Amino acid sequence: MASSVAQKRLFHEYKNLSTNPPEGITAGPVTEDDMFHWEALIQGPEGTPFDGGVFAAELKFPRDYPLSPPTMKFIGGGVWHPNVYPNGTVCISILHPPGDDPNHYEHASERWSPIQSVEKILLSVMSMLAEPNDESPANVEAAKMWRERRAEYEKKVRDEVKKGLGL
Amino acid sequence: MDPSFDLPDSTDWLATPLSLLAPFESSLRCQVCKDFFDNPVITSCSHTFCSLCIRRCLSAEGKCPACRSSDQELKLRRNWAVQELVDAFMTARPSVLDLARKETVRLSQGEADTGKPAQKKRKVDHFDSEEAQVPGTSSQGRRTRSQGLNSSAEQRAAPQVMPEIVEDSHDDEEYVPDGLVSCPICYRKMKEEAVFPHLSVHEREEEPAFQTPTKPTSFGSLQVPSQRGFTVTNKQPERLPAINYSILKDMSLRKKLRDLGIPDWGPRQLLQRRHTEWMNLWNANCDSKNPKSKRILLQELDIWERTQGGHAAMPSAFGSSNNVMRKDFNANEWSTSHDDDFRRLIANARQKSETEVRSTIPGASVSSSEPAEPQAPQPAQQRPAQQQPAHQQPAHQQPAHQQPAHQQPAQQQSARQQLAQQQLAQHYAHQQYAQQQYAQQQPAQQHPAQQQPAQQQPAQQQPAQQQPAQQQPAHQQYAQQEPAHQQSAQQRPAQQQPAHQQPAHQQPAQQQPAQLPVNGAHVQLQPGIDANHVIDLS
Repeated sequence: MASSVAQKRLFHEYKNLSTNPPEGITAGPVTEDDMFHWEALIQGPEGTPFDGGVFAAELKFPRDYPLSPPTMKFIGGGVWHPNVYPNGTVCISILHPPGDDPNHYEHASERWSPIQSVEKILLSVMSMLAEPNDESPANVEAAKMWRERRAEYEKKVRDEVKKGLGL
Repeated sequence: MDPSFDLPDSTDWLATPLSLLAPFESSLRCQVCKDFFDNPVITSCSHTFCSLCIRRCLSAEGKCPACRSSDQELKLRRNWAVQELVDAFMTARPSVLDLARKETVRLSQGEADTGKPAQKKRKVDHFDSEEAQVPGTSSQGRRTRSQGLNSSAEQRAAPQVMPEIVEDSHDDEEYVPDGLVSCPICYRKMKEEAVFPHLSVHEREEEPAFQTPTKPTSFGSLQVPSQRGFTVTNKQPERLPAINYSILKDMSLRKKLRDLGIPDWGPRQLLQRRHTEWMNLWNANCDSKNPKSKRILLQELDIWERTQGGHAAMPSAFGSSNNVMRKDFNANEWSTSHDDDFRRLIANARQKSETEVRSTIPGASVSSSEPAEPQAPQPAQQRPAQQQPAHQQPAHQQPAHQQPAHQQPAQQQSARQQLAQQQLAQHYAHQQYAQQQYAQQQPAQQHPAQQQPAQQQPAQQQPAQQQPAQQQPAHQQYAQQEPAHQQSAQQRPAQQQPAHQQPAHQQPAQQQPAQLPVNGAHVQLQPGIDANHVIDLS
């Protein structure tokens, strides 16, 4: 079978993540017939309003992975966060290719490079949940609320977490 | 997937007493492709990658992937020492891993037995008990996934633990010297029966005895065996120079490709990408001690053509990053291609008002099954009475969807539906996992956990049933990407199950709660979900 570099590399990452997963993170392909479409579960980091929540996201990988980064989108209910678009798409520097900088604020060193990995993306997203970057927000409303009315923001996040769990 | 996808990986060591070899092995692997270094080269910033990997990176971006300093292809230098390390390790790997796994089995049997092996075990425990590590060590041999979660802690403990175990096996009547002998010429350790084949390596300076199936180890002389292709002579093939594409007209670029003997069809951009890929393949091959024939390189180019080049499916709109933010963003096209999503959102919004009603439709939506919930801390979630019909009667309940999906693979709708079901099932697995997680933390509030699934489920369902026009392109796209897989997936839905179980060989299923929602759950869940469709439709 013609297995591309991308498939092989993704399989390595999958094996690594399932054998030796970082805490609070689970990820793998939706079906092993298509290595380019993954789903991931991320636990809300402790000590943040996201604590206790479990967030499902889908990752889609380009054919030239790892030269280009995947995209990541939270599914099943929005995540109220300055760096998450209302449709769930995550906007974080590690997911941006170094070539273009649509937001004009990211250092090249923070952005995607072929030596990054799914694991590092998910860890970055976890820390993004804990520490939003409001310089160039994907969700302006959330960023405003985070900046100006922190208590309200935290309450809204907690409510969303509960709602997401069906409570 | 392909059987060769049961790849050797650095994590193979984690389950054995030699878990410290995992970081060792991963440092012998290229950070870009995660495979063992293949023709390693060193950059001017002193990072080492496979020749092909770094060439691809540099032609895409011009920077070292590790440190992002600018570099040029021309400055890459071969790194023979790393090549030899890799070759030597790959030769030793199977036997060492085999030995380590046997030891793992022995240790775990020693646990079960209170006989003689247990005494040895106690010796190990004794050392560890000084560090209050007894429970962790007693199951040392069988690292489970749940233990894997604590692996960072365990790895920190490992330096204290490992030496004892290794020593222990040394004490056991020279186990290691028995199994392995060293080559009289290069002193490499190997199995006894491997020595003679190996000796011929030194004699003929040919390839080594051990080869991985995926990749020929190039360890030998510069002499090229006689069966090489016509273009590759006994001398190193000449490197291809980079082309400044902007000064070439279409015609002359096409001619250039023809002269190189590679396909010359397609739009200009494809021509450039193809030429770049060919140049990378070719020049990386020049770094090899044992260059491949042009025929093989052409096959590799063909793989590229099918996965990324002109024969590859167009990337989905979602696949290319940040489309929405581009200046030339085409709103119409976007709304067409995301019709599904929009409809889902609208449906979602409509359903929201009915959420309360939906939630009274009972917990069939939480179709839990045993293996999917090894922890099963809440009996409330496992409603066997409700699951039972869901599992057993999908056929009468929905002859219309379920049956065609499995029996008439040619129909696009059924394929699409199957995908939708999988996604849906996956989604439920997540929901369930989320519920478990939450319920564990707040056991008092478990109760109406079904709201969420009930609310979202019809939304997911809608695109599958109401938009035949939309389905067609989506399906075709999928089929183009991986025709062989798609076909088999349609014809044999059950086939996925073995595929999912594959990783489970290494980690017994019951011991890994964290992984199961992703891998196992949706296969189990599928019938239950189908029943839900009916409930919602009615």
